[in-house]
Amino acid sequence: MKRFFHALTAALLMPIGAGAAEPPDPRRHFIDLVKPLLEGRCISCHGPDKVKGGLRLDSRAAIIKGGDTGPSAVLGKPAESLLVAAVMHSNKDLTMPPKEKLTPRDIAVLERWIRDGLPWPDNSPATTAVAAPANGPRLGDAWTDARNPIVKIFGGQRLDLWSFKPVTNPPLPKVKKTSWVRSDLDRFTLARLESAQAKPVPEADRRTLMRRLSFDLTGLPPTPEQVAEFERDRSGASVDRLAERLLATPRFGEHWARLWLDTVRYSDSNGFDWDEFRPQAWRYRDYVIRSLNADKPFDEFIREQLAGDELLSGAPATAADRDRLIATGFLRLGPHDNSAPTFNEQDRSRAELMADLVETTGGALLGLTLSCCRCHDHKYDPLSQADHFRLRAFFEPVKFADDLPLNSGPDQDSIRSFNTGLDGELKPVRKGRDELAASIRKRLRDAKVSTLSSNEQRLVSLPKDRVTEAEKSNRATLEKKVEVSDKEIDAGQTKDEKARREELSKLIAAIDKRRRSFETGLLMTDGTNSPPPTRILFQGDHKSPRDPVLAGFPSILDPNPAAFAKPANPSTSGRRLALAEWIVSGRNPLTARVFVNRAWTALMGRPLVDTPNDFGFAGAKPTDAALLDHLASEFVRDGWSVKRLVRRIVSSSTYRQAATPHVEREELSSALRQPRRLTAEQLRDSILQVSGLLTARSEGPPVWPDIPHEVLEANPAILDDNKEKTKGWYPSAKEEQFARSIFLVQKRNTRVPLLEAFDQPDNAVPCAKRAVSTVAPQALTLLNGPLAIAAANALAARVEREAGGDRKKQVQSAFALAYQRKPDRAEAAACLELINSRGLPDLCRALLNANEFVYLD
Amino acid sequence: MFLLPANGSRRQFLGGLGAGFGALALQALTTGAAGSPAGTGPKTDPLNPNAPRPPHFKPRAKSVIFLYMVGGPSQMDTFDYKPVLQKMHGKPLPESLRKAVGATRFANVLHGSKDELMASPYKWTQHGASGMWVSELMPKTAEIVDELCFIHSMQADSNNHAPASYQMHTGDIRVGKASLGSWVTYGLGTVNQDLPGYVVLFDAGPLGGAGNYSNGFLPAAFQPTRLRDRGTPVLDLLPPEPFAAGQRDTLDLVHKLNLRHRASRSGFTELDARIASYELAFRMQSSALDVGDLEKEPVHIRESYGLQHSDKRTQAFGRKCLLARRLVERGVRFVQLYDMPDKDGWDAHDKLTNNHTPRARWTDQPVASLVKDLKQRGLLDETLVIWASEFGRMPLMQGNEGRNHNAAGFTLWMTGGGIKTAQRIGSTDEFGLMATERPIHFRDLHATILSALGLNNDDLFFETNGRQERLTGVAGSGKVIEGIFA
Repeated sequence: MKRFFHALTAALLMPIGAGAAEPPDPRRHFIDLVKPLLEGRCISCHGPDKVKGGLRLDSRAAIIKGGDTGPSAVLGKPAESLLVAAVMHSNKDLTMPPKEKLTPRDIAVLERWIRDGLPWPDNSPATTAVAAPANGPRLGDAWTDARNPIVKIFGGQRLDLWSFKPVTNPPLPKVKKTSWVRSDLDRFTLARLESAQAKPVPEADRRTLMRRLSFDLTGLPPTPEQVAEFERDRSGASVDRLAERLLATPRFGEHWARLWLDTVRYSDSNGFDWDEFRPQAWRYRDYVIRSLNADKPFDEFIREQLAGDELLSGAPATAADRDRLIATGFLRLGPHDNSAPTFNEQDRSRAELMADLVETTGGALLGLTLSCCRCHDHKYDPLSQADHFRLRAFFEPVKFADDLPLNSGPDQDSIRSFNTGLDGELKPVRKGRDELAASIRKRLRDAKVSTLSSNEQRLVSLPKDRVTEAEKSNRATLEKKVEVSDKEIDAGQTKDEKARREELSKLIAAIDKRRRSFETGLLMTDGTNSPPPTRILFQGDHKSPRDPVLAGFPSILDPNPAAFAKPANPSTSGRRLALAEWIVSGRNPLTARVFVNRAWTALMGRPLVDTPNDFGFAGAKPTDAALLDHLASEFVRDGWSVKRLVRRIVSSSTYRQAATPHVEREELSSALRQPRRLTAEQLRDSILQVSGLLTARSEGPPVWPDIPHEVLEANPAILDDNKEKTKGWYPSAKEEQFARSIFLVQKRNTRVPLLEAFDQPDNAVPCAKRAVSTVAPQALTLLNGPLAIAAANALAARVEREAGGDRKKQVQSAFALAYQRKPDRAEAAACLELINSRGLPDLCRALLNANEFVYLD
Repeated sequence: MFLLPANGSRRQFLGGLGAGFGALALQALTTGAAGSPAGTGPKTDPLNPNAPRPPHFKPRAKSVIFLYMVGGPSQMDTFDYKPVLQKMHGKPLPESLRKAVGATRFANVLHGSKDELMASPYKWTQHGASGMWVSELMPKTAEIVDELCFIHSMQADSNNHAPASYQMHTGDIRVGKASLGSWVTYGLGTVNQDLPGYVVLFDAGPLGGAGNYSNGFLPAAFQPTRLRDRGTPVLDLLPPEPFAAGQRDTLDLVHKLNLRHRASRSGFTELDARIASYELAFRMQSSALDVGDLEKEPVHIRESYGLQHSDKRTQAFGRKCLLARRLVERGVRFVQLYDMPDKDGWDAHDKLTNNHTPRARWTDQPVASLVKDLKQRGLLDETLVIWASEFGRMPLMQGNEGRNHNAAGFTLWMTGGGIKTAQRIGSTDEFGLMATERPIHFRDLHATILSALGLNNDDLFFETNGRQERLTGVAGSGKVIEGIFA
């Protein structure tokens, strides 16, 4: 505990944020400001590639030595240094950089550096030195081994980052009001409250609890009957029983899958120009739902997504094998510019894929901002540029595997033999058709030949080997002349021939239609066991490859090259599996923390770490680090069971507190439940459920909702549909339209307006947490949009069915359906007034728009 | 107007929030809201995120109209006159130039074209007091050349539409970043609170879709609102018929229910923001209908913008240009306008004249009239107008007299908003292939646009995913184009 606070304090004292005036430390000044400046503006002409004027600016010694015009810097004396004179353009013959002057800010950076005596921390410019060499001695982590490259690069600083410390299971804090404690985690929250002389908030009322559990666990509101029943059963165990029941419904996976799909940038389309539909992406969505409903251990869940294809040999034998292949869709979900090769930019596209894989793994699984160290060493965290590329090396061999069959081996065999059978059926039919065409062709040709002169007839009929050299060209011309095109055959066939040919073509088509194909998915696997070396890219630019690096984990923890796993699959490299095994191992302190933080957010409304994808210095610090570690270690001890983690949280007294609308003291935020707006999907699903429109669906290809033409035309590609049916918009049948939102198609460039308006992310990169914006177009959508209007009418019809024509009863019924409570007198009176003046659908529309419908306590 | 409540009812609408409303806003301001950690970027008020904010320094322009020509119009056929190219029609590209381009990061622009130079099929003449060369494709724009500042040396980092287009809009070739209009409204807010601050106008949108003009990681308050130039201007603006009559009563009930709900949740400012958003939506109904009513314009104005033109597509683009003027006139901060009536844009891979001639006819007159009209009304000084695309085209022939994409050198023009007129910045080689003098990156263009609005590009940033995101990339990488302002 003590060590933890120590780490936290250190983290708080670290200078963070680039807005700070002058970094206090010359070393940092060099790394953050001088080095990027030299690399960006000077090295291209004064470095390893070119040495203009005999000057290199890529080492301290070289700068002091200088070039043809003498030493570049006088230590401690910027005013006397040639380098400063050159960048200030004070001497007309020496103005650097020649094309564009540095800003005054940049010049000041150089001046300060010279004033500081040109500090150049060891090894920082040469990227080769930042990773441990392949055959060198094994190095320890950065806290125990001074040779660790992270120690060298950052001069021993940045090591106090809380999230890199091992997860400890902190002792349970002592609390006074033990009667309040229902589960271990309550001790942490209560201790926090008590130490601030605050009290827990009383338990929420039954209706609120029921609504909360229902929304948090299934994403849907309860029915009025469920609430009534729950209100009658006041036993202490009833909440746990309810939680069990909700966890056991498939709705749990459907709701929690959304959390994961946000995290892994899920989309059903490519993005970029044509935004092609990915017809198989839904299999990954269903895999996530299945895994959550089956409570697949989270470590296995990660292993499968990073390296499922490495876990089996040959065709999948079981449903579990099949899921392992489908899970690799995780690697495929990022945007993809598949027209890049047309413009010879496939290298860019590949580089984007690689960056996406590293950065998604960083944000989604590790809470590390690896995008920040793609172009240079990380600005805040103990991560080097080499670390980005060390991780990239695990992905170096990957290739898309869209043709990989998902069918089992025996299924594949039977499909193949079935199709071979069809080939056998086809052969004689095709032959018949071809022969018939040939005979027509011959007849028509003969007719053409007969119109030629006799000399020509002779020449055109002559066997090939008897045509003389001189006749060759004439012969070719004649051949052309008597040639019969397919069009001519169509025109010249007899009625009977035509009928026969059509009959045969139909037969062929009918046989072909029976042809079976393999099931495929949006999959990834390795294309090779010996990929090219992974190179550090200068300033992240794929056109500027530099030194190679070997695959490895973040150097601060383990700077050595990683040993690859021995995969079950003989045609994969074991690289991704090695990465997966490390991620779920005790050597990695990040992943369990990152996930329990997400789960906590989904249930308590507020993250423990407010930047769920950034556990670095620039991210938020945990509001309760001990609680986070308690949850993380229990999560791992529970075998990475997500359902147990959920149960652990919802069965606590902490979870049951009534919502606190405004937390005055930030330090108590982790101990209190706060009200929140429903997510876009919860809102749409609630509208559908309450109005009775929601249709059952639990898997399968996505549902395409009807959306206005003007939204479709916003992406011109949609107007230009192709025969593969991947560019257009294909509205589903009317009866499928009102499926749960998780089953709706999610195209990157054409979003469903209601979901987009309520902050569904575009998923270009992993979404850390949902934004909650409040803007006028949301009001317009919820008041006037087609779904809102359909729901208002449907709810009115439902109310009329249930309450009959009595308007007072209608008010009661509408309130019960929408809010699962009775209106108070004033509310009832106001509602009745609207029915009387405008009608029941208007009342229903109002109820679906009020804050009570949109917010959850 | 049945949509508008009586004054009393509107007062009542806001009255329920009482005097506490302003205080709440202030509190939200001081705690630093809308996702931006305290001390970074502009401070926005979640209850009124588009409230005007002071610029970093005295601005030259207040609004921007960005005329985006989708698909890459050819510089060699519009504004970048290349007499040598005219003489060398049908000849191969000189080996020295091919080698020089091949050695740069733009080598791939040579991919996909024939090795055969293609002269511009259009006639070129000089115009205005400045004597600028303009092709016959743009006769009306030629009349206003003295008002324009051309940049002939633009370069993009990708030679494919979507990535280059994303870069033109957001600074990054990858999708998911915030667009120029979002950055500007995030930085400055907007003057007219009854209209959105950032408006996009199009029929079919740009290639690459909404990723071009979206708010990306910026709060949704800075997302664009699409206005239509006919019919109801905003999607879902008005209730369908059976609900229209009851709108006022419905909103009043929603408001009553919200106040009761709020009573036991005091201090939860999101609820107040949502109550306020219904009020704004209500005001937007009338102001959007008003601004979209082009019939209010006198006949000579409508005619000048091409609203009576024999070509329907000229009319359609003319309406958008006229709407753009009406929007900036009412204080809208950023209008992003696309000339995309179909799925192709200026993407003339084959038979350039079949593509460019009609497109010029659809856009030339409305664009020129917009500039003239803004000037006449004294609005041009405070409105920055930009005519640009994601890239240009090649001097080599592709297919049957077409031209392929060219990210290595292309032309745009700007006017108004303090831009020094009748000047040319940068140039391409003698064929128009690659920028040779003063190559200009989008970062510098963006820094320049922000600067016109009084924003320092390095100081306009937003923290997300552990990074300080900027329109112009890492601090220090975007520079205002020197000499561009008067």
